Amino acid sequence: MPEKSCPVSAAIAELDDLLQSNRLDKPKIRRIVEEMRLLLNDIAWGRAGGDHLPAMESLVQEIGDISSDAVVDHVKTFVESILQDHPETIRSHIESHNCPSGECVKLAPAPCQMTCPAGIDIPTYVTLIGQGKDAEAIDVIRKDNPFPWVCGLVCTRPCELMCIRGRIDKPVSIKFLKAFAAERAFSHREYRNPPKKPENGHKVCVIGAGPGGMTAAYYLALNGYQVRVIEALPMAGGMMMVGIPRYRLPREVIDREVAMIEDLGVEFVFNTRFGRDLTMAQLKAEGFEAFLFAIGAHTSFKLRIPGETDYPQVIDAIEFLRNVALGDRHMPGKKIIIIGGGNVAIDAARTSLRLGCEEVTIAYRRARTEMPADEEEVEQAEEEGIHFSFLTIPVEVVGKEGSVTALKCLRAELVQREGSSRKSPVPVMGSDHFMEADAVICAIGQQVDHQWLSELSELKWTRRNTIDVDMSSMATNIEGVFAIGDAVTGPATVIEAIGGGKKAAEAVDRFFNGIPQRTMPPVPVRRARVDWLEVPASTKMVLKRPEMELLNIDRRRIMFQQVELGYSENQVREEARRCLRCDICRRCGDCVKVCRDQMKIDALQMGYLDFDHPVKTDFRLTEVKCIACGACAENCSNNAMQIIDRDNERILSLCGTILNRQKLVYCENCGTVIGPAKYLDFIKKRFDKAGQVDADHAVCEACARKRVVPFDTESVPVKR
Amino acid sequence: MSKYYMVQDQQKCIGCHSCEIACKSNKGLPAATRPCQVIQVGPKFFNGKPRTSFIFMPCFHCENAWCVAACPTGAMQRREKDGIVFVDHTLCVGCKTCISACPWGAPQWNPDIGKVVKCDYCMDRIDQGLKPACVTVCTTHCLNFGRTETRPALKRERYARAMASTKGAAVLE
Amino acid sequence: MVFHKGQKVEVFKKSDDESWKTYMDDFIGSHGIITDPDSTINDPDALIEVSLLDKGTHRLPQDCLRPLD
Repeated sequence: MPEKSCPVSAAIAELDDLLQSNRLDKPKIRRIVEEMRLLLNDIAWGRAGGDHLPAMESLVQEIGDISSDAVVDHVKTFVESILQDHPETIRSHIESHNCPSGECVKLAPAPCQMTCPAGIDIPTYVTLIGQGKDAEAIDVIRKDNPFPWVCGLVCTRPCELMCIRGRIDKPVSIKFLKAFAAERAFSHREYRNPPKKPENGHKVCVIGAGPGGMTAAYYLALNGYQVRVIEALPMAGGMMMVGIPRYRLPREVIDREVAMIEDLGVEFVFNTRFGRDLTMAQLKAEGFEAFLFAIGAHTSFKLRIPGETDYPQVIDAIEFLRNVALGDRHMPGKKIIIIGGGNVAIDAARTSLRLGCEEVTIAYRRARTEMPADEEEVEQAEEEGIHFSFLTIPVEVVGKEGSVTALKCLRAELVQREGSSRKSPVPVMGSDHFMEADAVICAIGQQVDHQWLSELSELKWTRRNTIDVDMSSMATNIEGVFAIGDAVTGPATVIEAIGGGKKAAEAVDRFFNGIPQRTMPPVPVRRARVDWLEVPASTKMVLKRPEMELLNIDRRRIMFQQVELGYSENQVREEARRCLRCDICRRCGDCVKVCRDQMKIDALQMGYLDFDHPVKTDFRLTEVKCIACGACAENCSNNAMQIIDRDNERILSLCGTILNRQKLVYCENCGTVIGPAKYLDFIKKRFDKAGQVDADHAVCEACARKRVVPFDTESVPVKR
Repeated sequence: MSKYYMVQDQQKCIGCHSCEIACKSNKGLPAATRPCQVIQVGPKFFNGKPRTSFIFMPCFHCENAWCVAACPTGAMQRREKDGIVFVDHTLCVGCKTCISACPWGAPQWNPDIGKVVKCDYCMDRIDQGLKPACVTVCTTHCLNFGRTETRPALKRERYARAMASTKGAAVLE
Repeated sequence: MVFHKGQKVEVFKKSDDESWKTYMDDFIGSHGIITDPDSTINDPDALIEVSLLDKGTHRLPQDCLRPLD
């Protein structure tokens, strides 16, 4: 490898080496080096601010004050020289987010990892699963997300939308592979917590035991903080437990992963609502110095139509789902209508069905194509027999003797309004009709319930009624108070809450250590560079993403049993082999350009490289034209394209996908490899064009040189 | 052929390899990359005594160079003004076809940069009026370089001297 | 503007919304994919989750986004 030319990445590499070695035997030096590493990483990723250089300098100073020894001196002079010799380059990283040598970008995570709000190193864990190393895969995932099993079942998987494989056929089934590995790891008793740092004496209070709060608790506990999680509900999980129904996420999955967090010494206090059962002042008196609000968005919007508040059978979906999750499994009515078109409406409908409701209808004011719910969810709901009534606007809940009897609705048509690209539903005059029902469930959105936060009177809120935070650090306007999850974003996803929790845990740590906060959200961290799985091009292309097998339809209509049955082990291992390892191939296209424009061979058909205009990709076509010259590999800046000689063959591969195999020809003289016949033919043909004849010499270059050297009589020393 | 000559007086060469070292350090090359190479032939017995010769092998800068014909990218070229065959590193993609094509083993692989490197008579030095790096360090002054028209008639003179000497005539048989 | 999941978009301008932060200026001109639109009520005012090429995943106001082709 040529020497690293970027001082920042060179410094990171050096500090990494030091941190991994046993040389930093004094805890104080170790801490300083770790902080330097953290700051340099911010600088490398262009998320450093004005405080970063002064902070680096004061760390150098601090290390200088320690009694000198070989390591101290080394770190001091090394970092000092980096800062002094390359001020321009470092400033360019900080001010214009630019690494002049491009070196820092080489460490760029794959698109899937970049997309993941929690920043999981997906290519690494997928490959580990492909190798059958499930527990190791879980270790890698839990560096960024303490809930691999939960996410393996319910994540909205933004990563799969960005998956480069999706440009060829279908994305790798990233989500489910996680669930498989987690299940295996638990079952084999290999699901483990990483080692914890010694306690540092600081106490942090997390309010809300949802995915965000518990993630923060996990990383804080690992970092040596004493963490207490306060939860209003009688159990942990937050919306994962009381929002997502059990047929999508069994309770045991949450319980097991929460237990792992508890195992780290995180204290959970249930049935305790902040603002009602205890106050900030009380917590401060107990010694808590930092607070993390992860209170979610648990309050439903109201329909604001007549009759809505007059009958007990009109319920909101969030409350309904919560009650069911907490054990109240009574059907709300026989014939029910759910108002709304989002995922919550679908969840409420499918839950009602499983409670025994005879007729479940979802009433939505727009058309099917505009439903915000996930397509798969809608399809599964339809299969189960949920009815949909589109372009339906509820106007009044009608009832008799204190019970709902019907929902009065208007039919709507979609009209393009001026200045809006979106069609709006407009009621059709005289279209009012009654939909028979004995219960109505409203699923028209949730918001943050801030009545319990009145004690924090100076806390800033956004106009969207969410807690206002700096998204780089999740810090609120009050010092030492952080907020994450739905309370910050409005109703969002589990994985986003987890990402926020991780971010906040780091921000809390910076807060306690006086390290400057980031000025930009963090860029995910590569956790390893594991060897790729070797797969022939034909297999790579032929392997198909497996279909998810579902529970039979009858059981789905009556039981809360998990609907998705999962993949078989074989399917999982094979699926991992579809991964293109974009953590290594950065899709710069240099290989394609060299082969097509300079070698004029055009063997590489890799249209997937372009995000905006992907064209056909077929790895199998490479061998048709490829002469195995190796120019593509030579010009690959990240060693993704490789050409090696093995077992009498020259093998060209891209991230382990074998693109071409050619039998080798050897030097007639010494037996050294001189290349495959196809390659030699290519050269010969070029001589023919140049009017050359007889280039038929199967000797290596060293022998060629020696062969033409005569034993020149003239050179024999003259006898004196 | 180029407009230059590069001759080695093999009788003077003692095989010190200084030329190789100078070449490598001038071009910044790793150990196994040898644009010029001194190849040892022998020892063989002549008149009952072992004799070794050291033969300097640079590039011959062929008139119709196969490496130039083989190069698909146009990186390997002949310099118009003086016929030096050289590699343009901005165009070389490392396909190594020139290496396989050359019957003399002149183009060499530089693994550090993933490109081919070869003897170009140090054309950057020549253009500054200097001699190739190898020539400047030759301990025994056995390497000679210059424009073809000024080439000394070294062999002819030596032959004449040998013919004039009775002992020498026997050796040259 | 209302977007759907999986739609390719471009950040074509700065938003006037209060949620726009200075670091987001870097995103202008970036292409990406909608990964989580408002999945409850399709509120045009909601912040939606967008994954930008090489820039990570962020919640952005919708007025700075436009669909690609």
